[in-house]
Amino acid sequence: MTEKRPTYLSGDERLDDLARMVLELTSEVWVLKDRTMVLEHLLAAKGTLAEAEIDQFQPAAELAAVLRREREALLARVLGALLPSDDRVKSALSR
Amino acid sequence: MMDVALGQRSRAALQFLGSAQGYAGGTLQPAAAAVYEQAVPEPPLDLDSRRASVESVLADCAEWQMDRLVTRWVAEEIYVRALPAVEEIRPRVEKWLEVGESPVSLELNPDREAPAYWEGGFHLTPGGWDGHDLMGTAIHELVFAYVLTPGGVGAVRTGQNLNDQRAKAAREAYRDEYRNIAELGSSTGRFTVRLHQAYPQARITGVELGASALRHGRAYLTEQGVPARLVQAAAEDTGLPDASFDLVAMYTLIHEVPVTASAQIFAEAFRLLEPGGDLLIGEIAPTDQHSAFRAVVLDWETENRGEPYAREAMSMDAVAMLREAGFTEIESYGLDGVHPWVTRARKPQA
Repeated sequence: MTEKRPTYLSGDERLDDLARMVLELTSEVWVLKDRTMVLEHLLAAKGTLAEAEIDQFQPAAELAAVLRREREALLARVLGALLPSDDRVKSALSR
Repeated sequence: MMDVALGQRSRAALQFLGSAQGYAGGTLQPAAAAVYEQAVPEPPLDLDSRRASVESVLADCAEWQMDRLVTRWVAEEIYVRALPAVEEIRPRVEKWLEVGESPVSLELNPDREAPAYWEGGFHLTPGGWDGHDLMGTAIHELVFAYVLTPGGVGAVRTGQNLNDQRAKAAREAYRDEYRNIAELGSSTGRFTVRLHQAYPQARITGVELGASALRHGRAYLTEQGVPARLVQAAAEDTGLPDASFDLVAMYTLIHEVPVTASAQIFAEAFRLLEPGGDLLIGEIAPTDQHSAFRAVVLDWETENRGEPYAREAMSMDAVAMLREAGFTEIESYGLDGVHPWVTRARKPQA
């Protein structure tokens, strides 16, 4: 589409762009959530996993540490997106 | 419907668009309507004033702005998702489209001259209605099933069933039986099936410009057990013989074409009908049949959702134009409120 798009949010094209990105991200979250639910359903259907097993699962120390590292890295990437790029490079290299 | 399953990603991504459109149409838009209707209990009557009124009253309304943005985003995104999705299943689609022997004939005419308005495209479809060789399948099977049916769009409100609307409109022609029906702008055959169900004895000829829509339509009608002749031609210049049909029907064609083309299509319908033959049109209701807010929502499609002729089509006096074309016994009315808006008429006996 080469035509210029109309603008919808307070006449601010960049705000529209951000909202489009949020919609796209929400869509991606949904695709992943759909996939996870399908995966859990299939694992349960094949008898590999009882349905409540994931909810009741308590990570042992080793896995808990891995999950914590991943969670902190995700937060650092998302919330850290507003930091100067030198800081972001430093943070990325430290992981 | 074609029984071809999508992969998980394509399925979930298209379903997301249907849900997003459903939320915009079912929650955000009614909220914006309530804000407007409370602020302006007696809105202006003419369209320009209505547009100005809604724009100024809802200038800072988050629900209104987000509803419009999501509707536009979904309208663009359906092709970004449906075309790759149809490519993923291409071998199975191609096999389904290879109909072989069938009571549905297809006459393609690659040398036909398409009107300029058709070449310009509509519905934000990239490259126009034939911008992809499987566009007909992508729209008929994926966009309708995953996005438009659950989400609603344009004149079809969220939660309404667009196939039921077609079935009801098809039964609105003057008589209970017809022998020869011409359907103008038959696309992939969605209304053709409903015409067949309403008038099972009739021979149906579908006229459509889009090759991919016709190809899909042949497979779809074959699967549905609807014998038909499909012809690639413009509705205003079908190339079919004079006085050869007792019913000419069209569904949501007129708002896709300029008013000048509508006049030509009405004249062509008149030419195709035998004396005493009937005309049946299912359309979006004229602007003055809607509330101020709703009229502005539909009018918005003109600049924002690839409906370049919606404004002029909804403002034109179709009844006067049909009278001008020679039709009599013209009636216009809405089903289930205002959509679909039915217009029926008769070609007088010689």
